[in-house]
Amino acid sequence: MKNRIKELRARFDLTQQDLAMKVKVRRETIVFLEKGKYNPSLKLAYDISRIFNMNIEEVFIFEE
Amino acid sequence: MLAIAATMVVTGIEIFQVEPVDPFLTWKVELLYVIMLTILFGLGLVLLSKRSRDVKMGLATDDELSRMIMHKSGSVTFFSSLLIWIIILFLEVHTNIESRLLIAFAIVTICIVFIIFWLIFNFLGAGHEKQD
Repeated sequence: MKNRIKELRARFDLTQQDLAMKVKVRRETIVFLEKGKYNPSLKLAYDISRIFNMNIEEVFIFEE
Repeated sequence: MLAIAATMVVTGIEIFQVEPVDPFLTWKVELLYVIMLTILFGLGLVLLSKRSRDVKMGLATDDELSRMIMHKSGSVTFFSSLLIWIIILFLEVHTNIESRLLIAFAIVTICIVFIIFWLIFNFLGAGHEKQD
């Protein structure tokens, strides 16, 4: 699963720390998410998408 | 992590109380234990300072990934411990090392295995479920 977190974070002018604080996770979790080394829970995916005012499938790209 | 540190300290007391069967071996085991404890203490200090910095910044200190890493490390450690106990059983039968020392050594080794895997998963990532 790919994601657009890094791109959207830059667009919204948010640091990894800012995003981590908004979704109440550690900064390391955002780092792993951006590197594609961790698939978030549905709740975390929803929380992140909500920060960017988008749907989950717009932020997280599921590959067949 | 606190439980791991406490276990290592208590086990250490046991190691140092064992009567030396082979003074050279006991000396080596004690030295190894002191080195491991120093590394653990240093690691604990680093983690504590990071945690207090995160708290000051208002960041979460525990989340779904950290819990997953903890569970995964625990799982790997459990399966490793089975192997460790078999080795200890073999050493108990084929060497004259005191049983108390062997048990203490097994407990410390299990703690070390947990710490190593916890560090590996923390730095390299815990991976994730495959989407088959």
